[in-house]
Amino acid sequence: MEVLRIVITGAVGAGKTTLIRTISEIQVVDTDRQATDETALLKPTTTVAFDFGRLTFAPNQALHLYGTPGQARFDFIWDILIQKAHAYIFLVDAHRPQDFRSGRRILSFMNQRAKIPMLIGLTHMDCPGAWDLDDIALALGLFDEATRPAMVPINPTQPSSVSQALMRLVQELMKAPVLN
Amino acid sequence: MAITSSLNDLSLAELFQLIEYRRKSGCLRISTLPNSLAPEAKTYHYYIWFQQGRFVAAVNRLDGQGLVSEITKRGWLSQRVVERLSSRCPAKMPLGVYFKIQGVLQSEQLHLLFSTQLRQAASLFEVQAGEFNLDTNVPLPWNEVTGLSLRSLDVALGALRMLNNWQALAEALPDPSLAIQSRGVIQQKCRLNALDWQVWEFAQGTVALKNIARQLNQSVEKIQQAAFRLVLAGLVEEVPVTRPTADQKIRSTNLIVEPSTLETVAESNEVEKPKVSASFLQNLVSFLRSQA
Repeated sequence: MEVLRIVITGAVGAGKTTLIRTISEIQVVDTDRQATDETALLKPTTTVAFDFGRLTFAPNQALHLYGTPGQARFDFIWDILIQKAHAYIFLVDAHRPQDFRSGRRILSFMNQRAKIPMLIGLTHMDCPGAWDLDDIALALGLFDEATRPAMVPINPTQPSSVSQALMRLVQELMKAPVLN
Repeated sequence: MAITSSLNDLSLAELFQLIEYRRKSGCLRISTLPNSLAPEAKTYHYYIWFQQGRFVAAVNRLDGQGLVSEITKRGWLSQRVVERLSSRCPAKMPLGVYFKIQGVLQSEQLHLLFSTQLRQAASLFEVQAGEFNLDTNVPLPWNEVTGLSLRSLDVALGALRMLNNWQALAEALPDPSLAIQSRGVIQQKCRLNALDWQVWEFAQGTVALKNIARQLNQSVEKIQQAAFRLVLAGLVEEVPVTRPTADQKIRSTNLIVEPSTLETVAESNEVEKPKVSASFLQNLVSFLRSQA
């Protein structure tokens, strides 16, 4: 079986679990537990280990999707997942500026741990108070427009939107030297 | 377009960085809120004006009388003269520049007025609870402008250097377990103090801030603050600690730390991952295209 491993990461509530549920052909293996800290204000449950989804698109060919926990205290799991990934999507909720700082720290962690193709998916771009793409880039510490990763709007609840983002990521991957 | 949020989410310093890098023009309104230390405090509004990413004015009123009231308060001009001259000031000309052209104010006086505005902006960096609104669709109030300007980042770095109470920035400071890593090419001049430069010497991502503090015989808080200034200036980014390379050890022997002193060490072992074929990726793209 030939497998491509993609990690979906981002701050709490960015839409990681939703994205995987939207595209996965199997019931997502999730490890959501009742949130007990400030995360509980945002959503009733949160991912404490990782989510796993699968998409088989040809005989013996599948895409495996791993969603990381959003909280920094689980960074040892981020490390395990990103080291084995071929590429990753970093999700940012465009209308929650309070998450940009933690998002920047996750992004920095991932970039340092693995030099692999990635893209930034911007969720909730159509919501009131959503920041525009270039402002978000700066808040994430991406100062240089010429060298920053691709940034695309994404709706984690819509299969077509998720497919488009994955397609963009795979195209990035095709430029990278991981092919046989 | 306007962006609004709490200063807990994005500090004033980070906002100034955003304004500088995005060369924004407009008004940043800061509204103070009651907090745990001052639950009965009133809400005050402050207005900071920017043009092309540069700080140009700061006032605490919106009636356009902030600058002239400073001038009359100092006794430099009478209210009658100010009113007469102000009414003749051409559109889109800073009032300070017009007064200078008319010979009623000198450069030094304009610098003093500008410094007053800078101090007012700098005092806001200590606001513990507040909200901001950055509106880039409002015209500049030329009556409040001296004609002088300063890079927003320099305003922020200057304010941070004078800051006594860092409580408002506690969440923004890099964690002591993290290191800093140089961003590479420095494109703009930055005004840094001696401690900032000392901390900058450790920008290889190999020494945790708390260990830098030990080596420089400084408090961890001071080192966090210096690291924050460097991050703000765009010189470094905060990163998890990595093991120093042999090359880094040779170049900078004073940065060598025993691996045992590192709190978190990224293993340099590359995890072997199966390669995927070009045909696999082509198949996947075709599949995803059919779903999109």
